Amino acid sequence: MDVQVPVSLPVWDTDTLGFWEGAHNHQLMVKRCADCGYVIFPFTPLCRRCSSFNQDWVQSSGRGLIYTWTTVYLSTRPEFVKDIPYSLAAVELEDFPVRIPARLKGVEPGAVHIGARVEVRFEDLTPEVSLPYWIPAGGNI
Amino acid sequence: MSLAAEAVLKASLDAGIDVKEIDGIVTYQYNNDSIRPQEVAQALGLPGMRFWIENWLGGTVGAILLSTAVMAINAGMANNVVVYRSARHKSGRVRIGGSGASADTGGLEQFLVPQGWANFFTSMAGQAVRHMHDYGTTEEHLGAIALNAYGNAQLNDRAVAKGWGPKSMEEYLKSPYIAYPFRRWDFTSEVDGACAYLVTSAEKAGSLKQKPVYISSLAQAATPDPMHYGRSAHYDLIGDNPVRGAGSYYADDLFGAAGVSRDDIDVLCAYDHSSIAVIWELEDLGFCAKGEGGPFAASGAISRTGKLPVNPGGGLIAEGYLHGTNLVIDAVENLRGTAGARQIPDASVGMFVSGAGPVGGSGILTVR
Repeated sequence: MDVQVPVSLPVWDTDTLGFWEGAHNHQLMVKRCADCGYVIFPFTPLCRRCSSFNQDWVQSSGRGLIYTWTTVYLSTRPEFVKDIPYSLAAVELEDFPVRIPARLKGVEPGAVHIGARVEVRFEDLTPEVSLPYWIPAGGNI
Repeated sequence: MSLAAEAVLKASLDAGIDVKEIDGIVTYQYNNDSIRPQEVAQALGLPGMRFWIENWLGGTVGAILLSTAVMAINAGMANNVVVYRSARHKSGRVRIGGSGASADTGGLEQFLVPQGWANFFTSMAGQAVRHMHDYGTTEEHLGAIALNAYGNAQLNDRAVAKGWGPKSMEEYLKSPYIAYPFRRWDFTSEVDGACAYLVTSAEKAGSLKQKPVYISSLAQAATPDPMHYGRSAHYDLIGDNPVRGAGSYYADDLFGAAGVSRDDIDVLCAYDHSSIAVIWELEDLGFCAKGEGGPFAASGAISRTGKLPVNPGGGLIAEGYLHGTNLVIDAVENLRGTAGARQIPDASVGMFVSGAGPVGGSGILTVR
């Protein structure tokens, strides 16, 4: 008997909807203060620099550098058991001063290094939900 | 429930105070993993409750709990306050390891769990990798922290790791990764358990059967980007200043108020949800320079006979994850001279740390 292993789907809210709408269109979006230009992550409802509630979602190039990483060898959740070992990174975007949590694909376990160039791709988990992942830019890491 | 009530009852028996004299309760929980103070009061039949508070979140609140008890007593709102932490992290619904029945994928977690940042140790591992990159911290440095914890736990009958764990660096290095650079030994041990301690006025404490331990100072701080640490501690990965924790913001207040120096600390009960956390604390609190935490630990300075004995009971790594409240108790018992086989001889100034990241606090405790 096949056992259906559930995936973990993101639960978005009004502060984060723009990111997931962008992901659905395979675009990486970040939130920027419409008044002072500060880039906000995590996506709080107001600017932590100038307190403005005016915000825009802007598209990133989807390219960045690995700020740090790890390779996971033990999964505590059933949906990731099939992926072990898999690698994760914090990616520093090339066009906005934020570091975002990332899943890496197309890399050898443990063979990741800080400063490596990566670029975003998207996987359609369901008809409604797409999830970003990152691969080595130019195929090498 | 029975764990919490038993811990509170045993704390009062240990102190030589009638449990019915407890009129204040301070506790905390994480995602409903504990029992309400009102329920504990009901079970123990406390007739005169006047003050209670239940904080949320994890080990970062340890110093705040003690501060709250002190403020309640100083304000005349309670006389005898018990602080407890009770948790079912091994058998309960909410597991620290992230393997509970349902993953929370809202809030900050929507950017983490669905991508595979599925638990606490993956995030701490990423932060350890960055520390290794910036400062040359090595796996042997992490191993020195883990081996110190497991070695000390062998002297502690309460420790879940008594009778097992790595015995040598070679054995440590040969064991598999759970998330690079962590091995199983670098991470705290999930437990079902409870612990409790009593806070009262200095005058009252002097009349009880145990040697009193006095609070010399308490301090806590949040960095300017505290939620980057988030519920699962992932977010200082993406913070503006990811390698400087709360300790660096409050350390001068803490030592200044107590009137002691780093060299005066006889026993340090450091918050060790992971081995790297101890390295951050040693640096943030000024026991060594930034980036020197690994070599400091590996030098033997943190051993029972070193200049700064760390976690003589095995800490959260090897005694068990009671979220830092057990660290306060380890410090208290060493200062009273009642720590048995794990006693640090002649300890008179002790310190506990609550949390290692962008939010946290510490306390300095003394005996006279």
